[in-house]
Order: sequence, then C-alpha cells, then structure tokens
Amino acid sequence: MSEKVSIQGAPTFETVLSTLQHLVREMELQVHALSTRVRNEVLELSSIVDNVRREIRGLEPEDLKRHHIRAANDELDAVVQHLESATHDILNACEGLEEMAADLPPERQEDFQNLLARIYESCSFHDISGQRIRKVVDTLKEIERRLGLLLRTYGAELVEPEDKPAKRDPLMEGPALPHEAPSQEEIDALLS
Amino acid sequence: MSKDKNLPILIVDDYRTMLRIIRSLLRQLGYTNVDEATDGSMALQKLKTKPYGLIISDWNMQPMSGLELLKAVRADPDLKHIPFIMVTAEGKKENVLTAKEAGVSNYIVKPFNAETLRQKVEAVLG
Repeated sequence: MSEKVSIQGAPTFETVLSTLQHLVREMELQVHALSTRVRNEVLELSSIVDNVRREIRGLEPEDLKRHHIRAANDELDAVVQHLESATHDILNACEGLEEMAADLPPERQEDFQNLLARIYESCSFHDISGQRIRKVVDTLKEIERRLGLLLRTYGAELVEPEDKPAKRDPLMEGPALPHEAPSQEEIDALLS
Repeated sequence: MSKDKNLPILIVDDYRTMLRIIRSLLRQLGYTNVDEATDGSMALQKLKTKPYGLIISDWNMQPMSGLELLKAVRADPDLKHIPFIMVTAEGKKENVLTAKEAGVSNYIVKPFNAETLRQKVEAVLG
C-alpha cells in the first residue's frame, strides 16, 4: 500500500532535473560571488602592500642605513674621543697644580687639595658619558639591523640584514638613569 | 686608614681617564704605590707578580669583567685574602648582590667622590 502511494507521489524525472539545474545555478552564483569577494580582498591587500612599499621607499631606508646612521655613529665616536682628550688635558693641568701646591703656605694646602679632589671626581664624567654613548651606539646598531630586515622583507634585492648583535649581559648595562640609580647609602645597606 | 701608605694597590678600569682619576685620589690619600690594568685578565697577570694589598676594579670591561676577576681572585688560594673594592656604574641591586655573593669587600657606584673612596678604602684596610 505504502509503495503504491510512494510511487504515485514520486517526482517526475523532469522535476528532479530541473531542481538539480536550479541547485547548480545557485551554487555557481554563490561561488562566483565568493570568488569575486576573495579577488577584491586580494586586490585590496596587494594595494596595501604596494602602499607600504612606496612609503618605505619614501623613507629611503638604504640611505638612512648607509649614510645617516653611519654618520651618527662617527659623530658619537668623535664625541667620545674628544671627551677623552679633554679629560686628559684637565687631569694634566690638575697634576701640574698639585706639584705647585707644595709651594703654598701650609694653611692653604688642605683647601687646595680639596678643590683638586673635586676636579678629579668631576672628571669621571668621561667614563659615565662614554658608557651612555655606547648604549646609544648599540641602539643605533639595532635600528640599522631592523632596517636591514625591513629592506629584505619589502625590497629583497637591496640589502641583507646583518647578524643580530650579541645580547647584552643584564649585569653589564652601564650607568642607570639618575632617577633609577640607587644611592651609595642604599648600596651600603645591601652589602651590610 | 691603613698606616702602610706604601701598600701596593692595583686599580683596574678600561677607561684610562678613570685609572688616572683613582690614582690621583689615592695619591691625595697618601697611597703612591699604585699599579694599573685595563681589564681583568691583565690584572690577574699583575697579581701574580706582586703582593698587592688592595684591588680596586671596574665591573664592565672586556674581555674579562670585574666580576670574573673577583671570582678568579677569590678562587685563588694565594690571592683570595686581598680586599676587593668594586667601583662601577653598574648600580642595580642585582649587581650589588651578585658582587656580594662573589666576595666583594666593598662597592662604590660611579660617579663617586673622594670622601666615599676614602671611607671605603679605610673600611676594607682597617
């Protein structure tokens, strides 16, 4: 009985074919819409990459790397050398004054020696400044390295990045900034 | 302050200006028997040639740092008794505690003054 009903209610071949054709058309439309969307997004991405490339070229990273950063390094080297030379001159003068101090009356000797000691103390600026400048040079080298990476990513033919500089020893970071540095009293407390 | 003003002292720093400054300040304190080294390995060589009574060393030096020098000195039966003052710009708590653990006698942070140097030298020499 049920077989008879099923046979009687079954769709005709034409109906099935028409439904399938409709489904295929729908699928084609969906696929077309999807591929158009994907294509548009790829085009948009490509346009973004082109813009990034154009902007990077505008920054002239190769010029920055080859000229400006190198020049900055040279300038800083010159500063360090000049500081050293000036400090030696000051120390030479102090040593000359120290020899002359022997001729001063005894009551002036102590004051004179104290003033000389203050000049000697102040001359340590060369060491501190030199270490701070070394930190700046390291930062410039890191910028140079990252520019190299950028060039390799967006302009492969330009420059191979240099090896990453050795990681700094966390116990050899040089002078801290004044507001970060502990006082001699705090250091003494840690040692006691 | 130690009565022996002829006590041999070794100062170690890679900045020649700092060597001159510390030498000058020590001279003002009366110490004139002062030798210099520009890194830890040079200092170790000098320590084998003379019975030094005090080492004053920077930390941040290449190829051998002040900390490595301190550890080498404390590991050497002939040198381990020598007072060792670290004079450095490395002033972080971790640095001080690391130096203390390695056996530093005293620790001075740059920039320092002559009075601080006098106090620390006096403290370690007795």
